[in-house]
Amino acid sequence: MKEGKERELLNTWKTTMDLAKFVLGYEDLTSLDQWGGREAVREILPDEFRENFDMIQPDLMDTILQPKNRRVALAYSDSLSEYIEFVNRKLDERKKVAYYYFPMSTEIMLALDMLPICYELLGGISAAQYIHGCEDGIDRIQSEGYPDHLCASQKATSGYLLMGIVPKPDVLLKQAWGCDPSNRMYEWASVTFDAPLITFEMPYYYNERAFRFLVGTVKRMIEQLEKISGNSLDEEKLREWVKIGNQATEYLLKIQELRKEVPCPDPAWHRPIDTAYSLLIGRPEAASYFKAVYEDAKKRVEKGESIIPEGKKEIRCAWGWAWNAYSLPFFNWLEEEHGATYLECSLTYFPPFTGLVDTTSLDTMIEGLAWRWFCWPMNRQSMSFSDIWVNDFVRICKEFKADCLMLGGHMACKHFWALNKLLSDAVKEEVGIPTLRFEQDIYDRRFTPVSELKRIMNTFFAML
Amino acid sequence: MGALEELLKLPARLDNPYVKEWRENVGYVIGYVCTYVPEEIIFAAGMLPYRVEARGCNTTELADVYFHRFNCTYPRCILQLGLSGDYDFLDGFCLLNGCEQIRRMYEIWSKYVKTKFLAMVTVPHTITEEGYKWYRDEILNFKESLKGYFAAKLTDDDLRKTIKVYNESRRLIARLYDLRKSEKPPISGTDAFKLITAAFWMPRDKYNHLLKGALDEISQREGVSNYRARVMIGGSACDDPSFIELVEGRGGLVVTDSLCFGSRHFFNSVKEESDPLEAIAKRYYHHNPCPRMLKEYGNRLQFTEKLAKEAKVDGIIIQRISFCDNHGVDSPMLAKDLEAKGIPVLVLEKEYMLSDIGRLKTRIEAFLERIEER
Repeated sequence: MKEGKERELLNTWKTTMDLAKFVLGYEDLTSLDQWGGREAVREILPDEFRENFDMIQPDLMDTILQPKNRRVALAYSDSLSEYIEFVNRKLDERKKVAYYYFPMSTEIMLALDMLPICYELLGGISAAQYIHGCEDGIDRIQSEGYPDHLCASQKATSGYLLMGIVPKPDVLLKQAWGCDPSNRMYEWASVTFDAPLITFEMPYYYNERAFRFLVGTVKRMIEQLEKISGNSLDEEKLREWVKIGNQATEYLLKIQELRKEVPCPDPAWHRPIDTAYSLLIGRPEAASYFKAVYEDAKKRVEKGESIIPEGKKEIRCAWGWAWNAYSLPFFNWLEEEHGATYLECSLTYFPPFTGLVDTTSLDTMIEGLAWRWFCWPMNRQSMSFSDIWVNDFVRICKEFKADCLMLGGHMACKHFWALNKLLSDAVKEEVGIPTLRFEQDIYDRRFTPVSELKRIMNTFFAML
Repeated sequence: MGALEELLKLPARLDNPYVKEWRENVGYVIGYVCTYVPEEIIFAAGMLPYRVEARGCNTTELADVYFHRFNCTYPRCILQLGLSGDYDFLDGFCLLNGCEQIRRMYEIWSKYVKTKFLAMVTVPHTITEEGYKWYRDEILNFKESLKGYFAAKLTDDDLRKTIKVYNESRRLIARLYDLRKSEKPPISGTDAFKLITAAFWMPRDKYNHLLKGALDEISQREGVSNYRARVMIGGSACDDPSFIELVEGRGGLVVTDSLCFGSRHFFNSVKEESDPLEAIAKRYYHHNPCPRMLKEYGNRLQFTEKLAKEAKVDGIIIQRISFCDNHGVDSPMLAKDLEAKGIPVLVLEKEYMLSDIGRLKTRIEAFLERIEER
């Protein structure tokens, strides 16, 4: 990626989305090989797509072209295109750019007519789509002396900001809590780009006292955002966005319930994308995406269809940390090769009591949003004592009828690594299933290449 | 043994005669981590606060069953000593959400080390009025749980008396830092660090008495002049003088620090004339902030620069423990800004325990050469 144009990254994605939609338009194209290989497919592409096509992971194209994956792939592409158009529109209108940390949603920023961009999303989408993922962003920030063990989800965007290929922040929003790499990188961005850092506190406990404290700090956050945006938070405008956010949340919670079905009706590669769209809750694009995923899974349940090849026994996997974004095809491979489905993880699991936001009044909406953030995957598991994470996954393994627990820990997530043994012990004792513990980086394939991941899986499933 | 020698030779943990004596003749010993745990409350309750350390630990094999190679070796070493029984002498242990790795010791400690009283004090990550109230309630809860569990008597008067004792330590330690600002500091950085850190591991009133004697002794000295450069140490938790000794072994003289086992712990006093618990809460919440506190980078930079100027340092060594995220990000930020102000900075990645000495020596040597060539 060249340095210096603040829309370059998002416009590259936009081309990728248009390209995906173009290719998905060929209904008989169900793999690159079937069409005579990569070069043959390249030949059918209009010129403006070819450079972009060369950047895309070839096996990703094969994955989305599979009949079972096409519908959601199209929804993903449509929704992301629309989000990019929205971003470009708001940049044209010179709205204030608010970068925000992922375990929260966009409603308040939208109601204040700001442009919300999730810091962690930028590297994630690039990692998921391109051969070299978000390595350029990671390398750029590390070249400044920042350690490799920080989280790639902030490293990538920090590098992109230095490269000037994403919009500069006018303000940064962050939960102040027990994730040191993200806390520190948001402060770095605030200092480096002279943008105020507005925080709200996720205190250490998961109780009423802590929740009340959180609500108070969210209210302070709103006051500060009002000053920066120059707008007051209008109850009616907030209600509109909260309703859209509720639509997405409702589908998301229903999809979770569907994944309890045997066989699991929801393909594994959706999990990283689910996380990406959950960051956009409040935007209509998130609601459209989750609607498509829900309908896709529901149809499969109604028809008794499976996402794993006929004749394979399903191995139901709960992922106690989470996915990696750098190889969506790897998760498809797990289904195809091993019949291994992906039930839930700490980046997707909203406990059922998350519920919807009560739109009765401004206060109920602010409290409802704060409650959703309190329950948000990763926030909930990470903010407090290990028991919450451990107990959530013991319950998930039971309720989702898991056969095993995968702990593919992210290098940067130090507090996870300090509880991984407690978690695997609890799952063994209380559910009686084995755990596979392995190391990966969430966005950077160079840390544990896909070939190595596959070897780890082959060995584990052979033992299972 | 003179006061100076006694402080310089203070052994660790149960070999420490003050800890032994306290346990035998006085009462309970309460371990704690981090500069946000108010020691005054423990001492005022008639118990000995002991800042948990892992000096001399050179393996993490027991801790690594629960922690991982991606975890910083500071909590891993502490846990190692906990699991191997070195901390069986603690009657209680107060942890804190200082960083995301230290905080996770709580659960493992409670399950496998089984210190009978375990507490958690939590501190918000930003300095605000609401945050202060949260923290004040946390230390109030800690105080009440300590009193309740150990049936301890702890009045406001006890707190006031203890505040005076602890403030006296702070004044004496500040004097030690002042002495080191001179052209010919009367004490090496290694010995100064031993004197300072002894405060964590003995009754504070006795410490004050010994430190006064030691300061009298030191002030008579001629002072050190055969050094290559005046150096400041900053960065991750460092409780072991052996790293400072390594720097001084290459010819640097460590004249100040911004460590949480050094100036950051001792530089702010508690107000003596107000409500004692409020005064303690205010002092600890607002003391020179650790990088775990958000939106405080400017203050940390200012604090570091001020120390460097006052002690007339030629360069700063920021040692960061591998996988320490807080200092991992703070160190290149500080290095960039301090270099821009003309202060040479070496960011040195290391483990908590002193290992990989050859590489460290080479890096320190090269840094001192760089300073000399200026």
